[in-house]
Amino acid sequence: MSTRVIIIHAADIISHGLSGIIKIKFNIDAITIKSTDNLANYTGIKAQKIIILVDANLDSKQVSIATKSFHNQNHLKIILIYAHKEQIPSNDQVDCCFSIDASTDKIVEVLNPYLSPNKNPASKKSSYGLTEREIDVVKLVAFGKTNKEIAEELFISIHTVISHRKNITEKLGIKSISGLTVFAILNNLIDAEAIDITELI
Amino acid sequence: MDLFDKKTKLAFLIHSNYLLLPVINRFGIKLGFRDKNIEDICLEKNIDLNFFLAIINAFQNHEYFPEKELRSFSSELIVDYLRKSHIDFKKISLPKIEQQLNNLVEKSHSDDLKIIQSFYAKYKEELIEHIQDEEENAFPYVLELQKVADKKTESLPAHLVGYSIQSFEKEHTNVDEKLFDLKNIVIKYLEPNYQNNDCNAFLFELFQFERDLTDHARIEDKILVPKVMAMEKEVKA
Repeated sequence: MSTRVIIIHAADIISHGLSGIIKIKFNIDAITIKSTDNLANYTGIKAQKIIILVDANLDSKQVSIATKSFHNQNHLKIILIYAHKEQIPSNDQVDCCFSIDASTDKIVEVLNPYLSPNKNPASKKSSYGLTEREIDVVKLVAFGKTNKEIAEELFISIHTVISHRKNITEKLGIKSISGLTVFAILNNLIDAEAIDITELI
Repeated sequence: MDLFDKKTKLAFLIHSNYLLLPVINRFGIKLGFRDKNIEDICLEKNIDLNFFLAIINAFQNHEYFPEKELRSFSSELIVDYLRKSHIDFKKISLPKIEQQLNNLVEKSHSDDLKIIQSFYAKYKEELIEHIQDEEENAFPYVLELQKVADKKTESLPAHLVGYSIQSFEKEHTNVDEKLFDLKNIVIKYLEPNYQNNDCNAFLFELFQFERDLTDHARIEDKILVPKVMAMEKEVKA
């Protein structure tokens, strides 16, 4: 579930400043380019979401032509960086905008709905107080396995599986199997694309 | 907590607990009470006063269950109230929750929320199935059994003969668990890239619905089921 960010701005001080904020606050490495001409090099990007932050000084027609190749295949959002209020377009060509004078907090607030931090599975695994073994059990439950199947797969007794499941429910506060599946997906324990969501949730 | 009685003014009732609004609506009571008390409105709307008091007091106070009195209410009265709440759930509460959730998902572009949307869809499907089962099997059974108990008819219709009330309440827990999980996943595990107000509105709806649903289940489990079990004993003896 990756998100890519492209900043198009002639001024290095702005694009580098912004990419710094995005790295710190959202853990995303932004691509910085100086004009729409270079955008064509990135049309092959594989990402579920592409956010383009663009300088309001650039010709809006050129921007819309250059970003066209991203449409259809990706979830594309265009955010305008303006120097003067007059540069804010009245139509809906852009999804939102902020001023170059905006504070870090303001920028984060504007970007927040568009940028989910790229998740780092390794760092999340140890959270929520689950043991390695309990995480194994959660994964298998999320894949729709029965207690018996889990016991066989992990070479443990059914009683042990049941006791793991009891502890998991207590620690997480999630009782139903589909609730555990949702938990596993949200925490990158399993890949949502690897399962049939309509069946397992 | 003080109990409401027949002299309690309706305005006071709602000031004490506005969550009672949908409950009184189910009895056909609307706002603009002026100084009417519970006795006045029940007389005016032809509502069984004791039943009304029992329902609102049970909603307000979870410990309040004067079993003997509650069992004296007719099955028709109880089933009618439960049916009306089913209609509210399907026509008002669920669409409202859905609207809030869709709104939240649309504005936040979060993949997490899309998964939560699928989870909600599954929950709703199960709840509606459960409601349908009560409407089509349990309630008709209760009403037929009451007729037999009242000696209005000699025996149950053939298709209901092997049925018992205990076989139908098993599913409650599963459906309740899912609603609890839905709330808890949002509260504990949602990534913070959403709009505060939208998410709050969604959670408020869920909390309110859960409260309404719990009350509904308590009326089924504490009033209807024991009453029907007593009737079963009597009829099948």
